Amino acid sequence: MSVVSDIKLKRMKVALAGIPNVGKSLIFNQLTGGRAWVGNWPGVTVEKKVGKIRIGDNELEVVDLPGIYSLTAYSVDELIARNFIVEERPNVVVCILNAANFERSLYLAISLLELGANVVLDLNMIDIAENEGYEVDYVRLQSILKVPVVPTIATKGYGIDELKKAILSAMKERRTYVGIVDYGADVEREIRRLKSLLEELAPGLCRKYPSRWIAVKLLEGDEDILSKVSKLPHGSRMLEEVERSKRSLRRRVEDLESYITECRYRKALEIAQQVLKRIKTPEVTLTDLLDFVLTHKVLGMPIALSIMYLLFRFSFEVSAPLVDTIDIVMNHWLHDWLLSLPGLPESLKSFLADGILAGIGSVLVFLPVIAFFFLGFALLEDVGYMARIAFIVDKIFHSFHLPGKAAIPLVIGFGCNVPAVMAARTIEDENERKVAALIAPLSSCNARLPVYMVIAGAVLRAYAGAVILSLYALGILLALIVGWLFRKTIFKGPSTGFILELPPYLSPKLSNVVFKTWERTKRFLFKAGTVILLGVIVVWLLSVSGPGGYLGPKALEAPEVLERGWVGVIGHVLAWAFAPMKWDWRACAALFFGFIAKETVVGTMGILYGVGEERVTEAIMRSFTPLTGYAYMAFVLIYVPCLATIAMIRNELGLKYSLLALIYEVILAYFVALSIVGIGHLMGIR
Amino acid sequence: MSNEGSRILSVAISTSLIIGIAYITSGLISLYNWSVMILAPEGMVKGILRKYIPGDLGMALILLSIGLTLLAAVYYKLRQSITKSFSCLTVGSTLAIITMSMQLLTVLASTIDSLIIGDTITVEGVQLGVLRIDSLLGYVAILLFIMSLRFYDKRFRAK
Ligand SMILES: Nc1nc2c(ncn2[C@@H]2O[C@H](COP(=O)(O)OP(=O)(O)OP(=O)(O)O)[C@@H](O)[C@H]2O)c(=O)[nH]1
Ligand SMILES: [Mg+2]
Repeated sequence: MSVVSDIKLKRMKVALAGIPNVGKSLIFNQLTGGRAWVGNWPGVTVEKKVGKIRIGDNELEVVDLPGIYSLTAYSVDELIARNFIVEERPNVVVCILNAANFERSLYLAISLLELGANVVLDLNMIDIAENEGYEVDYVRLQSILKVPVVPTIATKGYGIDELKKAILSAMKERRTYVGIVDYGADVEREIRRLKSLLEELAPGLCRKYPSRWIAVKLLEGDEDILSKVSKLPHGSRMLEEVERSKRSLRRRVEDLESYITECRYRKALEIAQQVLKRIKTPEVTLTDLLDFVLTHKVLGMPIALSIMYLLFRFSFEVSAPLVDTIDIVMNHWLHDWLLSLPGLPESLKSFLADGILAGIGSVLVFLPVIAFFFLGFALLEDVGYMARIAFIVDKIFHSFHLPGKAAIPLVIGFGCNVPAVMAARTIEDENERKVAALIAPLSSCNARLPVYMVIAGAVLRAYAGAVILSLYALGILLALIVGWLFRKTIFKGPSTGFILELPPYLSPKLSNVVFKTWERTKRFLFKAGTVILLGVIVVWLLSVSGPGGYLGPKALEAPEVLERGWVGVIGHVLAWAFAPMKWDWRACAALFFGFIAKETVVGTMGILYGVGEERVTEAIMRSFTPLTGYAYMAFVLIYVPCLATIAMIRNELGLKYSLLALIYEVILAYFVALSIVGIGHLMGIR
Repeated sequence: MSNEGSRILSVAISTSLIIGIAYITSGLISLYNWSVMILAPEGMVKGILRKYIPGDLGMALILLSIGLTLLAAVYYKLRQSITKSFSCLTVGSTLAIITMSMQLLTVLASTIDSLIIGDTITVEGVQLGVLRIDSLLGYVAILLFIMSLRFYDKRFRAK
């Protein structure tokens, strides 16, 4: 027990730990007024997030962590959480327990207590536990574990003030319960022996961690602690002693590592039995009822596809009035108004109306589609359907040697590929994780959508809907095939089983759904305002100038002049490379600029095809056949999603893999586009 | 199980059988209409009730999924698994209602859209939208949903 002065409090850290999906991020938001991402599936948070919390006159630092089941980390996100707790030793660890998944939560709490963390227990989701028919006697729990326990319902904000108070008093008065688990006389004897040796031989390490914890971890064979001890001056001597202990125990305990885990788990069960109370006869929960059908081996898949189809209908058809409104305002009213402005030089007018407005307007009209998609997506995510998708496709994914969890990056990828690459962090196996991150960009993100809508709308008309859906399917199919190829060649290894816990279905919180929709849509808007704006300016500049010098704004009125500009040169060079696909040079130039971000493809088309034309659509109709148009869309789907995604792959896996992603995507895109045109010709399609 | 509970369930299951078959049939018709549209584009083959059951792969998929789920409810009832049967009933009817709502939303959106771009709105167009098969069957599914709620109250909540 120690008393801390108020001044010191300011530099203190509070960590929020707990098993996945217990509500850590929601509680973080409640405590700090922050905006951490909340979603109803395990693995939402994959990065630590820092915030400030004011309690009375004190300001403390709070850290939201990814979910962990124990202090043994397997995946990247778990490692982030474990390292923070073990290495940085926050002053208070708020361990959030899931009242509706009590034993597993308790296991983690016990591990934290053994580590000597200054633990405050937050018993969250008591409403769900109650719905499922039981109650946790938290007063009793408090007396068993000897640390404060605060019951909360994070969604309602219930108990948050009490939690703040408990944190504050824990700051001032440290409580630990290192010896909570009894490992039996034989093992305990060895623990005691190692403990006193450690105190003598490794005093530095014992100041950082409780010596009992180090001793247990050494017996357990924890790699991190073993390597820490081996680096000490008396390290090798210490390790010899550990081996001696293990040898002497071998006669009594068969597998020491699993024995220790088992003792801890038995303790958790024992405590659970003491504090869990049935308050109702077990009834069938709504979650069980729904899951019987939604994860059914026959019905699950068609229902999942139906839900996806409904999501697309919602984003395409229901958003139509908004799309047309934006179109009328931006591409007609604003455009005409700009051109009619008196006193502005012609070249400036042309730059504003035919350059910037044409470029950005052609992308912005799709904003409602994207916003509606994100809205539907956030609803599905918060209801808890996401994790079911991973569950349903697990079998299929397994036959491609991929884990079911790899479905989550692909589904997130429908929105944006950048967070999709990050979502692969939750996959335990190193090779599987790398493959999941590398194939995530094949999932067709919202930025590609405008390209499909423009081209399919112009050249495939009545079939546009089916064609666009087929592109999404093509993306997933290619992801599976490429994933399988990677698993068979570069990233070999055994496949791991399915270990994603299915969360209960919850009714979505409106504020959270709206917030997420807004945040994601805002990102798209922001991109439109920066990357596309820049891209559009560059395209315009390269249009009005060429190898022969300045061409003037005339270039954007007469196609013959435009062809002499730099865009014309780039377009023609690429058109030569893409000769078998018979793409127009303007379309090829758009691919060039689309390298930065897919939104610029349509932006560029908006400028280039608008030259000397009344309507962009008609120009596009003339330059593509249904077949070449389809090949073009497939190319756009597959080749590098955007530089931001490549940068994220570099961030997650390193430069080598980001280059690998870049190269395989370009080659695959070319190959697929070529095959589409080739097969189409064989079938007599034009 | 209380008498009333079992009565509600038998009514619900018989309804489910009928609506389930209707969903499957219309799903198949939609599929047929779709293949007619793809394979004989010149309108040489007429298709069946195309106005109300347009050929659309996605719609066929949804109709068939709902139909299958509702028939699964009958199947599990015959095998005496009340809980499983009830599951199928609830999910099937909920999905049917969501599908119906989506269709109505779409009709509403396209009407507003016509106003914005200055197209004429015809009564027939709206009528066809509101009476399209996925909305039509959805209206009946509301009944089913209410029955399944009633049953839930009787069977699972009463204790
Ligand atoms: N009914 C109910 N739902 C809750 C409660 N606390 C959190 N939730 C919901 O549980 C889900 C998970 O919340 P998050 O805050 O994302 O959980 P997390 O622990 O940060 O999850 P990861 O980051 O994935 O480890 C969300 O849908 C929350 O709305 C609660 O007390 N009651
Ligand atoms: Mg979180």
